[in-house]
Amino acid sequence: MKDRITETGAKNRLDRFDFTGETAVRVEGVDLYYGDFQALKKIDMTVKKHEITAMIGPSGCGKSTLLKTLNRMNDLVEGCRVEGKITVGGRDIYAKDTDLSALRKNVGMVFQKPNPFPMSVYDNVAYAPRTFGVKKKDLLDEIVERSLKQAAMWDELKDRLKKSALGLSGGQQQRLCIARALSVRPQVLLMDEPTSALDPISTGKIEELCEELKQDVTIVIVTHNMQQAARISDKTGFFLLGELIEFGETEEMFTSPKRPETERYITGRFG
Amino acid sequence: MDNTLQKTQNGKRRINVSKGKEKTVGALFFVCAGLSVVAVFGIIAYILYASVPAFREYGFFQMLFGAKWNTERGEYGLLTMLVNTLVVTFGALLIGGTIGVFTAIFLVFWCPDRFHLRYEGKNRALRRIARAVNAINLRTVFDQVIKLLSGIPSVIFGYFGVSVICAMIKGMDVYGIGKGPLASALVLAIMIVPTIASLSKNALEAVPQSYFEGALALGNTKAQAVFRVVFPAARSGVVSALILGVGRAVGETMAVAMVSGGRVFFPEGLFTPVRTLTTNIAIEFADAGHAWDDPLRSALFASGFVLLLLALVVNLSLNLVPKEYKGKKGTKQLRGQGGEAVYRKKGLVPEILKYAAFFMAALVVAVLISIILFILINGIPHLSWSFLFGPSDFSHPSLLPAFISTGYVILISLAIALPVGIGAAIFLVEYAKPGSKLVKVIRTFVDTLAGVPSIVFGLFGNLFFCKIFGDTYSVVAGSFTMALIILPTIIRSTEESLIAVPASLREASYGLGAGKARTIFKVVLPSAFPGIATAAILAIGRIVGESAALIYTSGMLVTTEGSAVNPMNMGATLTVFLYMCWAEPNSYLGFNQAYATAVVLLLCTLILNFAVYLIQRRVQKKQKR
Amino acid sequence: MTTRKYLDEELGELHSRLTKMCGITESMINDSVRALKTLDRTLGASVSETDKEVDELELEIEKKCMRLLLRQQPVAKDLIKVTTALKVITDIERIGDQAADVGEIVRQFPNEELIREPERIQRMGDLAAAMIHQSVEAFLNENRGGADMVIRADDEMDALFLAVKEDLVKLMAADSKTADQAVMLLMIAKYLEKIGDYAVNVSEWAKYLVTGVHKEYQ
Repeated sequence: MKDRITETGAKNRLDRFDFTGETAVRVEGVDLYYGDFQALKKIDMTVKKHEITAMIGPSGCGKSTLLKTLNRMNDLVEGCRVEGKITVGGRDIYAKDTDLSALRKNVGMVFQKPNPFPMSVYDNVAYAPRTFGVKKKDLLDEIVERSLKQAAMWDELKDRLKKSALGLSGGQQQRLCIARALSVRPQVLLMDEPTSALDPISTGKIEELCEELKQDVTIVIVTHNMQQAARISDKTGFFLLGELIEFGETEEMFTSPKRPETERYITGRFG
Repeated sequence: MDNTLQKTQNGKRRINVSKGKEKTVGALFFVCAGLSVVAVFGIIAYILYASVPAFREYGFFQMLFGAKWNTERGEYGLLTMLVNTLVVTFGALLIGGTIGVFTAIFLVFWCPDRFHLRYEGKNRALRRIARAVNAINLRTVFDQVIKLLSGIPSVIFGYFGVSVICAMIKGMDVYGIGKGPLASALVLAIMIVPTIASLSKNALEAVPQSYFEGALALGNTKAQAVFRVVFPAARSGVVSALILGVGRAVGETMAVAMVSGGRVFFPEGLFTPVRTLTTNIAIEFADAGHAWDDPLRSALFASGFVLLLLALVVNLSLNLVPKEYKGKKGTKQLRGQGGEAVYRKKGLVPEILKYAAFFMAALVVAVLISIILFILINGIPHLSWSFLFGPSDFSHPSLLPAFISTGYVILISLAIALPVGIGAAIFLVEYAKPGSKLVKVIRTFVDTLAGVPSIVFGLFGNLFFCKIFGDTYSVVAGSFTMALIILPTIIRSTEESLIAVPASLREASYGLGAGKARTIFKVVLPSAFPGIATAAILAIGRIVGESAALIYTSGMLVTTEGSAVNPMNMGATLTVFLYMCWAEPNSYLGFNQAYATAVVLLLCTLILNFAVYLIQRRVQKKQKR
Repeated sequence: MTTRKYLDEELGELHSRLTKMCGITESMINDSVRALKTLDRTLGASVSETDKEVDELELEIEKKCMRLLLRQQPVAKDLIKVTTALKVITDIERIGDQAADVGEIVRQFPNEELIREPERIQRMGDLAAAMIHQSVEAFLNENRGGADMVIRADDEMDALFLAVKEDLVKLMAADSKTADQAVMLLMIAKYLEKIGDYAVNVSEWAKYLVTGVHKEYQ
């Protein structure tokens, strides 16, 4: 494991996540409470490297909640308590000495609604590298170009890098947010219903992008859309009332689900 | 059968009748709305008209760019005053702006919800106290602290400035007095902090929470997210808040008059006695003659005219603030701790700024507490029944006539401003085409009227209303002047609460066949009532706290309660009385009486704030349901 | 970025598998007809061996189609492509079966003089091979012209079969010793006629692929 991010040149001794193994994320016996309400019950799940793992289930089933525990965005919710063990890149991320900055640098996130900052396209993508101490212009240029290319929007945007990101279309904004997340080379990318606010064409583009990104990052995606899960994911987890009902190969789950609840949900017969 | 038929016929007739009425009602509302436009032009025209003699005598440019002001030699250059105003305002903006903005940041991002006292002991009383303290919502308390600070009459700040701030800084002054630009800027800074803090807070809260989350997800610390993403996103709102703060600082009179030193010097040091445009009027007006072409009087109106222009420029510059990021819907609550404790040291600057925010917020609380303590400690010993409600005469003044006069001003000005203001708001929301040019023009004028310094209102009232009501100072003239001052507040808040009434209610009423006027009076206005009541209470607060506008309209005179009963007579309100204690002290009227009066005023402010809080809490609870 | 890159890729893959399956089947027909003409028993045996390959391909394509339906959720033309592929492979597989059966019978053919009738059966074999070629061509290249030809050719095929049948019945009635061979030949003729029917099916699917309308649906 590199102790330095070569790109940023910044010494990053806190960056001790080890993604050389097969497993990117392991969730073991996780319970999560909001105050007295138990939102997740004994979740066990393993996310393999360079795979797309989809989490599906009805609203309020806990899929987004689990996603947000993976980069500890749940810390923002008052009264939220996590029990059990979550390892990302071989590290227990709920250990006391966890560096949240380093965690979130390694585990990027894309939100339901596109949320580009009110800055130029360039500044949006350069934002995170700057946070981690990159100051040199040419290095930043390089990172911006690389990230935008990775998000397959360099050709679209190279002539309008200085324009406000808020002027882009919804789909472009969301892909820009993906590029922004990619700017610090995360190992895992969390996507929280990334296409639910987008039209079908933009959705298609983002799904295709996910397929391409698989080579570089491990993707965990929460989606309301079962068809989407079927389209893009390698593994699928079905959540119901805070429990992980079924987890396995996507094709298997969508052709011969093992649990009747899964069958009823994915066939649209779930009340 | 027969009955129903009659009913429908009746109904039909009623609808026909109401169509004619409808037009009349609409026209009436239009007149109400147009009144603000007329008022702005009227004020500008009258003040200009009254300054003409001085301009003619001394020359417009010579007045504007002449540095010499000597009433005995007939020299009326206003440049010194203009420069002083700008310097003092700039100083206030620098100090108050920083404190206000940082306080807002603290309030939105770091203010904890409640205390977390833990008491496990056996003492039941202590345990109960701990529980009660834990139940306090700190955010609400802090919010109220800022509102209270903004509700305190400016004269009280003047006293605080003279007795506390000047005393604290006079050690640095070679003459050991402490008055001057520094003291003025500090007092003004305290006064504009609430405006800037609460408006900046609104701007920060309007920033979508997704920006904050997005920054955290990229590995930012909370401080980095706040200072590098959320705050820049709110900057246009913050700039607007700062401009409004400047507007308030430029127009402030009495407090500055008390701490500026009052001499016509350029600000050569922190402690040169100086005089601003507003204080110039306050200091000289009593000495001016009554004749229209009296040169000093006219020169003072010219001073007011320049001040008015300055205020208009400040106000209009608000429109230049880019609204790029405004109006985005955001989540109101950006709470949560972001796992502070486990962050390593990084992003040093945001961390420093964070602690700056903590410090500034603490400072604001400290200042408020010290003002309140200062007033209470000095004032309570001098409170007595006879001083409050005893008979009053020249040698033994009591507050009774002031209570009566204040009551009159409140009643009369509300009786005028409420119907007109509500009418104007109804026109803007219900009758005019939303977003039309007419609406924009009227709104601009309403905002302009709100930005006119109160002393300019005083000058206008002196010229116009005093003339109308018997060519002398009178409580009625003061009330009319106050009505103009509170009109914009009432229009704006009524407008807001009307807009907040859901369209579905109106549609339901129309769907039942009700006409427009009926819908407005029976459905829309009742739903908007809490908002209007809040506006009225805020207006009362403004009236109670006002001094500059009243001194030149309702007069500055100790009267008997008998004389105060007739509103056509002169009469000082509570705040004017408070100012008199400083401006015309004698053996019966001095600082002791002042502090006692201040206690009363403080109490009024507290009660009014509490009333607003109660109304708003009720509305919020209803909305939750 | 062209959208649905992966769908296009997968459809292309499906097409190439189909081409392979059709190619193998076509060569099976050709081989079995050749074996019949020359009474090459080893060739006949090898044809029935090749059938396993076709069966495997059918299974593979079926899985591919299921995967495509699940993963890419095709609609419109793409959907028709996948569903016709699913239908066509069944017919092709049958064709393969029949060809294998013909080969098998050739392998078992007794080592004696042929009774009559090889010309017409040979003609049927050539016709079947041609029909298969045409229909597969029409299906893979999505042209309806070839398909129409196949449908016309089937009439000739049916007529030939009737003639062969009558002929063989007469033979059997005249000389009971010929019965063994006659039944074998009749079976071959029936298989070839059946192949013609499947070829018609395939060309009807080819037409459906082009026009979006199936004969049976009207």
